[in-house]
Amino acid sequence: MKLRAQQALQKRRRSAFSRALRNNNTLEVILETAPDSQKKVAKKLKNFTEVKHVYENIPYVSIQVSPQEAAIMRESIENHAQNEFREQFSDLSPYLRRIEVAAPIKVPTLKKASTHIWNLERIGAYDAQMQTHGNGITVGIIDTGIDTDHPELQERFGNEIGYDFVEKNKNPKDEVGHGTHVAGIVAGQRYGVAPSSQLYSLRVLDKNGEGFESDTMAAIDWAISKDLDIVNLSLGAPFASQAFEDMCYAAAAAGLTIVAAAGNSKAGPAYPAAFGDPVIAVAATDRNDKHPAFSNIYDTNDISAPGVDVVSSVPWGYEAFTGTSMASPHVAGSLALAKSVGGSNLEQIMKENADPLGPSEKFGAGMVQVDRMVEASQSRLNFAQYGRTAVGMVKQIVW
Amino acid sequence: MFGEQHIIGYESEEQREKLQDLLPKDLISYHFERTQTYVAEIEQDLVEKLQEEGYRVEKDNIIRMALPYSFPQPPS
Repeated sequence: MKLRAQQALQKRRRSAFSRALRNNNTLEVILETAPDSQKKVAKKLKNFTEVKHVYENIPYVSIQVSPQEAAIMRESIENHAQNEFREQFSDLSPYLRRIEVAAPIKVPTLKKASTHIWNLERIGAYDAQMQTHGNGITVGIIDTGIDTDHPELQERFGNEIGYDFVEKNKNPKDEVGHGTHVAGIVAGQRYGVAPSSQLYSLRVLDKNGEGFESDTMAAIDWAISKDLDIVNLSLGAPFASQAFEDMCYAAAAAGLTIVAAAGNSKAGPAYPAAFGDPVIAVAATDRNDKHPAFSNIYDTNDISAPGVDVVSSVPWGYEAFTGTSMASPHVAGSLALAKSVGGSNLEQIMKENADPLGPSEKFGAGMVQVDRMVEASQSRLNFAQYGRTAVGMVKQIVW
Repeated sequence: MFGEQHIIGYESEEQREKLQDLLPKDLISYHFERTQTYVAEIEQDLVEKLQEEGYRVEKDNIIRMALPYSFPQPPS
């Protein structure tokens, strides 16, 4: 960063700190420590206050304190003031370098300033949510991991969060933001289509957003074994192995619904979306229902959903992203809502109830309409129940 | 010389047992029973040998998140 910009940022940080001190609320402050001393500092401070985060790879600790305590700490750390903090934590003095207030997470101001968000409105999510929020449906997000502590998503996980197939552990955190954004569209509290569905974070993409097909296969294999309902794959490659295709067919045979992004290379296949039958391929549309130039034109496209300027959660707050990555989770969430009311043959219901938009190579069956999907799932369920009752009555008469 | 990650398919239990002997055990990353495949990092000469013996050997492709433009970076 250039010197002038750095100085301006420092100034903003100092004034943010001063503003925060005038507030009565508890603050989250970040302490920079000497290299590799963050754990030592955190251990000592735990007796004094709530330690929120001890960062593994950078010498920082974040803690919660009152504005008064923050002021005393700043005086001690920056100006070496002999105050109660310095007295109580004299042994920490050599390890503390700097203190700053953590920037509060803010929701970006939306162009349409209303509680309704264009993408959710467009697919009929608010009307569908009058009937169901997706309770009891499990959705695996095969992606870069998920920030499971994000306020938008923290209620969406059970005891088992998922699995990290990149690092081979059970702590699939998101270092990129992509997976958290996708998860927020599926099940975010405010920005999600199915805000009561249960999520699993299946990390297959590394911090550069890249991964191996074999890890993706392993994630699908895991989802089949755990009997998940739906997996979303906002990822792809122009080539794919036969083995990957076989895994997708195995998933479909096991009843796992796979939803995938159609790709962002304008035209041609992106796998797994382009595998055809076992995968629901989702193309993107913009706010005006137009086909954005990046969204792949290909004959396996099944359905469309909003994929331009979609706001959702990221580890540092909220952001608007663009891509078929964003379109795909709208459909995963829609299927979760329809399934939660007992829907079956969901792909057929989805296509029958879509808003036609144009050529299927661009749009598939058209814009997903989850309100109509839920309604159709309910009426089919009612019909099926009525049908069974009627058949039972006939049998009784015959016997 | 390091090998590249490959996906190797087998079609029978006999083929699987033989394949298990041929693959360097510490370089096997997955065995998928559902699709009858192993994933392992193997060198080109072994790739060719396996192909000669009738195994389906495919490259483990790189897959990427589906975003059209450069990804916004988290604020520092």
